[in-house]
Order: sequence, then C-alpha cells, then structure tokens
Amino acid sequence: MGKDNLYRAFKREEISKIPWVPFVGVHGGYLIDTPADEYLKSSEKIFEGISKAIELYKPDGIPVVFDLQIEAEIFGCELKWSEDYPPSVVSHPLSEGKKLNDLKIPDEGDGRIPIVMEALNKLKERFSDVAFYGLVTGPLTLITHLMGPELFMKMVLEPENVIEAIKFATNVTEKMAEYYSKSEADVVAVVDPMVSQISPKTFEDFLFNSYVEIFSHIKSLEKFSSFFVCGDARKNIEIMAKTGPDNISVDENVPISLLRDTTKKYNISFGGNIPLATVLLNGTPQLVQKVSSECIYESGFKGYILSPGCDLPYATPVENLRAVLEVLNVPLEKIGEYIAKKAEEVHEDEIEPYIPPDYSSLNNVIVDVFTVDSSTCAACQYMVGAVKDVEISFNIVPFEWKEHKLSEKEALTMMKALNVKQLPSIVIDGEIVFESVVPNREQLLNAIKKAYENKKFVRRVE
Amino acid sequence: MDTIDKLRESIVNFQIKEVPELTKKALEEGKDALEILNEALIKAMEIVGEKFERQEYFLPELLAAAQSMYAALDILKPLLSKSGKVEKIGKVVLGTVKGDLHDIGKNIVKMMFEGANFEVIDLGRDVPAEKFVEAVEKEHPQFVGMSALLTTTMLQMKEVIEKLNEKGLKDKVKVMVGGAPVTEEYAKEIGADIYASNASEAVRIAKEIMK
Repeated sequence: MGKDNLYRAFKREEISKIPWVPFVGVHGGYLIDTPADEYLKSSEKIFEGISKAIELYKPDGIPVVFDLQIEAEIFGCELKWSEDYPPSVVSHPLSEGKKLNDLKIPDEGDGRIPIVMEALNKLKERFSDVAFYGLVTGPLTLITHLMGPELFMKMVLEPENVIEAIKFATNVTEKMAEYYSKSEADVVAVVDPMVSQISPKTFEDFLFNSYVEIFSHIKSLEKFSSFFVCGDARKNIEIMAKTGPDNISVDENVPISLLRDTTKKYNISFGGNIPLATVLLNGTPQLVQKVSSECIYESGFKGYILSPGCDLPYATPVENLRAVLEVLNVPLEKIGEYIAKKAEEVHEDEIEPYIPPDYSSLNNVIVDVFTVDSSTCAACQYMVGAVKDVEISFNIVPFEWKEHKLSEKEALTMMKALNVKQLPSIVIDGEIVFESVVPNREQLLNAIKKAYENKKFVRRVE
Repeated sequence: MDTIDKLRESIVNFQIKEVPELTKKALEEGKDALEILNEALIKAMEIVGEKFERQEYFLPELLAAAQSMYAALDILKPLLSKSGKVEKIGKVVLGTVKGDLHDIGKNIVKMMFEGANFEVIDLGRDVPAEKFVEAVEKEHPQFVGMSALLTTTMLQMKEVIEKLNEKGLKDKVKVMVGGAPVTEEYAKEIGADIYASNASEAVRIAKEIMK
C-alpha cells in the first residue's frame, strides 16, 4: 500500500496490489461542499478537500490540484470561473496584441502558485504515505491558451513563430516542475491534452525535443514524471513514450492494450482508463467495479496504475469511487473470476423491459436477427448469412444489424417486447418480417428498402 | 492537370499562397464560379475530411486547408451571389451549449459544413437552450448541432431536446450532438438523432441524409 507500491509500479517491479491514483481536482470541493471557484483559490479548502479524498478513497497517489489554467492566468488570460468545473480561458493575449517578449517566466509568488504550494506542504505533513502529484500544464496546451485555436493553423502556415512560442512554454513547464519539486511533490505530471489533436509528425517537429528536455529535467530533480494526455492520442503514444517519461496516462479513447504494449517496449509505466462520464459520473458502483477490474486484467499488472481517464467531474458520486477499493483488494490471480461475477451483477441491474426506439426517426433501418446462436445452430447461421450478404449493399439503404443470441439476457427482453416467438427470426424496424424461413437476397433487400421509405426524414425522389 | 485540379490540390495541401492566383486563373480561363466551387472547393474539403477521419490529417492540417478554402471562397463569393444560382444543400443551426466556452470543435464543424455547401447559422458559444429552440423555429433548419466539451455542460443537450419536444419541433429537425465527453450511447439516451465523433463524420452523415 501507499507510496512505495506506486513507486514499484513506476519502476515496473513486481507488485501484489495495483496502485490507485484518483485524479481529484474540483471534486475535492464537492467533498467539502465548496464550489469549484472558491475551492481553487484557497489553500485551506484544497487541503481540506484532498484530505477528505484521501480518507474516503485511500489512494496511493493523488494530485494536489488539477487546474490547467494556473499558468495561463498569470500570463493574463482572462478566466471564466464556474461552480462545478475548473475555470475556462476566454482570452488569448498573444493573439490580442501581446508579444512573446512581453511575457516572463512565472515567479514562485505569482498568481495561485503559492496557494497550491501551501496546500502541498500541509498535505505532505499530514499524509506521509501518499504520493502527491504536481500537475504542470504541457507546452502545447499552454500555447493554445495563449494564442487561441489559430495556433493550430499557424503550425502549418507560420511554423517559425510557433516553435519560438513552444520554446518559451517549455521553459515555463520546467520552472513549474522546479517549484513543485522544491515543495517536495513526489511525481511531476505534465498534462497536455492538446497532444491528441496533432499528428506524430507535428509532435516530432514541434514538441519532441521540448519533451525530452522536460522529462530529463524532472529526472535531474529526482522526481518521477508522468505524461498525461486526453482524447484520441493513439497515434502519438509511441512518440510520447520515446521522450522518456516514467509513465504515460490516458483516457478511454486509447485502449489499455495499445498503451500496455507500447509502454512495455520502452520499459515505462502506464495508467488511466476508467471512463469519466459513462462510468464514474453516471454509472453504478457495480459498473465501476466491472470496468476497473477489466482495466486491471487487460493491463497485465506490470507497471499499471489504476486511475480515471482525466480530472474527475465535480459531482462524481462518492460511492462510485469507493467502489474501486473492493476491486483493489481482489488478489490479482482472481481478477478474471471477479470480472465474470461483476458482469452478471451489472446485467441483473440492467434488465429492464426493452423499449423499442422510434424507428421512423432513426437514420438507419434497424435489422435485429434473433437466433439460438449462429455458431451452433445451422438455420441460425443461414439467417445471419442472409443479412451479411445484403450488408454489402449498405450504400443502397443505410441499415444496421445485430444478432441477438438467446443466451444473452437482453435478447430475451427484446423478444418479449417485439413479440418474437420463433427462432430464428428477422425483425426490421420493429416488424417481424421473416420467421424461421430464410429469405433470399432480394426479399430481404426489398423489406429493408420498404422500411427505409417509412422514415420520416426521407425526402421522396420525384 | 487543369487549373481546377490544381486549385483543388493546393487547397488539400494547404498551399494558401497559390490559392487566390489559381482561383483567378480558373475564372480567367472562363470557368464558372459555381463550377469552381463544386469541383475544386467542395471536393477539396471532402478529401480533407476523409484524411482527417483516417487520422492522416489532424487539427493543424484541417484548419490550414479550411483557411486555404476560404481564400478561394472570398474571391468566388461576389460572383456567386451575383449569379444567384448557388443552391445550398441544407441548413444547419450550430452552437456550443450553455455554460461551455469551448468552441474550437464547433468552429471546425461549421467550417466543414460550409465547405460542403451547407448554410450555417452559428449561435456561438454558451448558448442557452431557448436560443437553440428559437433558431429552429425561425430558421427551419434540417439539422441542429450541439457541441460540449465538459461532462457537466453536456447535460444541457438533453434540455434542448426536451424543449424542442415541448414545442413540437423535435420531429421537424434532426438533432446532432458531439464533443469530447459525448458518446453514441449518451446521444441515444437523450434522444438525439445523430452522433458524430468528429466534424467530418458529422458532415458526411448530414449529406447522406440530404441525398
């Protein structure tokens, strides 16, 4: 448990328990009934909120603050504050007349830096066995704040100006890492969500050297480093790994298997991946347990750190985060069994009467094929084969199809709702069209076309 | 390769400096402004959209190509409106939902729709639900598109759909949603008609529906 366990994962050493790092940002405010805007401006509130999170979630590591606007605010970006979200940047000084030369590297006493460091100092004093992450804004995200979205166009049309700005932002990132190191943060995480928006080639041309420099700087400060990205960064994971961080952390857009294999190649640790919106914010504790045990299973254990995809939403239910603790206590060799158990529980919860959609307003014709199981029953196999055959004609009418096997619980509720009594059957937009009899290609295609013509939005071709 | 082909390629490859010259050259050669629009600009943005979906192009390339397209469109616009024969293929109302100030995504969707010859009514960012409903009432678009970057603001999308329902407008327009936290599952749950994971996909689906 605790820091040492986390460090072992950072070094890809054997572990018996997966380390857990909930990315508590403004959610700390939620835990102590304080709106985000008040929370992020008070070292006392941050201290209280993170202390509460540590008591509730028993993490091995936790960020002090998750706010990528701290640096931008110091440079004069105007912020719009919100009660349940970190602030948003609304003005971009470098595209509103300010020059790069007008900006100077933030001082330790600037903006909200002292607030964060004070909170960190107090937390270090109180919790000696938790690793604290100092989060610094990565150069690309910082420059996006400073220049606005036109930055991306400039990368192609005026690259020299962007290169200069990124050099400056790199110095800022390094300086912030130093401040965190001085206050004895255990891990420095460079957070650069915008990296998912550029190609590996652009990363190489504009950011590669900066990141190599940043991570070697953090190493020289004798801290572990992590590279956080959000969004679909699949193509950049490899080049990110090459810049030499100790860890890469991603959200659900990057499959854990891809991250696992790439980081293994570079002998670094990896983490993330419990989805924020669908699972942690809106799911049930059982769903959280199912998904987080699947993450652990797929990670192959070595070097893995369990965490959410990104900054936790303000009002993430406490019971959903506490549900993770049960998963962490499952012996690793039993995790497969645990997943199966959880899958069943989640199923039970979800068995509600099936309500068919309003087919006439869907874009595609919905073809539901009910079978015993097409891999074991011959008639079912032909029924599915007939649909697959027509699928090639998708460009004639847009349709989606799905096989529902009797062995799946949802199939039963659907059959009940759609009044399907024989297997195999084909239901098109809610209408049973073929029962037991396997249609030929033309019959099936005509039936799908007919259903498509009943769509509300289809404009009749005169 | 004729001038229209060259123009199309220079937009795809964001050779923005060549674009105005090639556009003028095509006009001098007697090409019709509408033909240039259709064969060079719109086709170019289609190719750019495909490259974006294949992850061959990313945000910088997409924006630079769109900028190049606009450089040609600025020259063609006066001629097109003079001849009065440009028929838009559809109308879209777009906005980032209330409480959300992130509009990079929405602006890209706007560019891609314009590049595909749709008329776009841009409501901007931080748009209250009532504004979306009003715009649908007044503009009679085929599509209303909502964008959100935050898990908290995406809940606004549901409110807009409910309000459209109350006013009996939901069946008159296709509701399109997107943005980083939005998933297909969520879109279905709140009763949206279309979910798109990126700008190019949004335009492609809209075009399919308008066919």
